[in-house]
Amino acid sequence: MKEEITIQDLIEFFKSNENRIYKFAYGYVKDQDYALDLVHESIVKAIRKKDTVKEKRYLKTWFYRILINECLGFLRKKNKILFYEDLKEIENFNESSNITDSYENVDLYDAIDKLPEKLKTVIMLRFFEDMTLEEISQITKINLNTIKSRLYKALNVLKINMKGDSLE
Amino acid sequence: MNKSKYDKLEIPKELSFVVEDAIETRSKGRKKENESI
Repeated sequence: MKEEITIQDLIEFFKSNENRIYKFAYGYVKDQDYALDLVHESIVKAIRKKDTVKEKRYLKTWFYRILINECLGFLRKKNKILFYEDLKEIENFNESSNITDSYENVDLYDAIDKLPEKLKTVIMLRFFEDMTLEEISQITKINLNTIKSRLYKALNVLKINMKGDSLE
Repeated sequence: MNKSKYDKLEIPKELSFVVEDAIETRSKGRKKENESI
């Protein structure tokens, strides 16, 4: 039986995750004031749309979808991002990238700025939010195999060797 | 995986106020909506 979300559930979620939510937004915009605005807007929007969450267990993925949409919408307005509609363009990007090969010298937080948004979102959710690929698939509403493909592609672009870190 | 910058990212003092304000903003709005019915 499905468990409905209450305002109190949302408030508890926001308060206990506010640092993570802020860091995630900051990862997209790299500006403190913009990140705070995006946190504010996302929470207001989430409360307004709370009836659209199907079940309590989906609260996290549902909210991150709102947050990502807010961040990408903001960046689109600011014309700060380029969209790569096919892998060919991403491959071209890979070839022209000058990211270092040295895994030890890469701080992921800096490196992801060089990624196209589609790849960046997957990396941020997987490694900064510790989400499973299934959760990422739910948030982005993208097929699981495509998510796996994007993760491999992103790691390849970043020249990071997973060294046994399972993608499953 | 090196995530040091992410882990050490400074959290602005205003964050808690922003979160509170967002929650309040919406709950005030709901109250107003209810009052107008």
